[in-house]
Amino acid sequence: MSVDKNMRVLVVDDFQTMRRIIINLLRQLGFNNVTEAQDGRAALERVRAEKIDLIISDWNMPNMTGIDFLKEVRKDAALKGIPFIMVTAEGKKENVIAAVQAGVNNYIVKPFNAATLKEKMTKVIGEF
Amino acid sequence: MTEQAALTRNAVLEQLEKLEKSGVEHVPIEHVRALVNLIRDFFEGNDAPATARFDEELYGELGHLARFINDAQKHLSELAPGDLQEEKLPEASDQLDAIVKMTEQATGRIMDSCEQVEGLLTGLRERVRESGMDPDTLAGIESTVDDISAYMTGIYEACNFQDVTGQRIMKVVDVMREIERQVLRMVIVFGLRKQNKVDEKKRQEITKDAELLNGPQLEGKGLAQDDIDDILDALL
Repeated sequence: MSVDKNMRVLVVDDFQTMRRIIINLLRQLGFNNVTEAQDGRAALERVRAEKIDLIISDWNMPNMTGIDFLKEVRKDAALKGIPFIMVTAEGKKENVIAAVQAGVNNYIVKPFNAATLKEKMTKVIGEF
Repeated sequence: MTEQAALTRNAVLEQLEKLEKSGVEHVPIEHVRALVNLIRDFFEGNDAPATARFDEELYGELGHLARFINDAQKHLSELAPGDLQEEKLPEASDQLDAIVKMTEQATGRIMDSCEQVEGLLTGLRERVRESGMDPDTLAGIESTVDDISAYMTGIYEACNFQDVTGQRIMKVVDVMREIERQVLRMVIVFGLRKQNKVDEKKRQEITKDAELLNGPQLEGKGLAQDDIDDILDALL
């Protein structure tokens, strides 16, 4: 079954520029139904308020980090099934392991390109 | 400590231990007097010549230490830590902050332009499709539009640099602020006030220094995406 490109994608990053980059790359890949949040806390409010089909989140953010946001999502029975991709400059092995232990579905290290984003999204949500 | 002083100290400790172990509520006055005498002997020193030698050595060491601190203070003072803490470090941090802000603004403007171009491309694609032109020409135009769109993707990808360099520079700024705090402590401890105002030549040096702080080349230090994929393959 092919992926519905109209799925609702939440992009979380404290850098507005980075959110714009990811949103534009998603648009290039055919995903136009995108919403955004500037930190984990705002993102958590968003996923509790509306149906989100995929989360793409930074790690290092004020108020609530990406890893804490991920843990909150995985703790919540209503949200725990949402695919979660971490996109971060944190490129250490212990970060990747911590993210996997917290329940991340895939991990992209910055800087990245559209091909990497597509490849990781395909692994998480299927071919598109 | 001299041999005599060590003997006296041991005698004092012995007396104290006896008193503790005796368990009596009221200590006889002669025991207290004996203890006081021992303590007085310890401090006054019945072996005066040896104690004097000891004091001489101690004073000698303290003198060395005082000269060392004095020299260190003089050398630190020549480095003008007051200027460093009050002007040079804050200014270098400000320069780095400015780099982050400027690159962020520049990236924002690049993205604005890219989004405008993308909007125009979408409009162009719709118009040529509705124009009724011959299929070959239409295919050629659409292919060109696709190529331009791919180049736009390349620009978005390249804009990644702003986030990564911004984070690296902010880490350097954090380190500099910590150095600034430590220098401030040193200035307070050694009483090193600001020596003089930074002149224009020094100000130019500061700017040059700040310009050099463009972030070290860290390639190869962190994990590459392939390494991360290997870890993910093993863990997921």
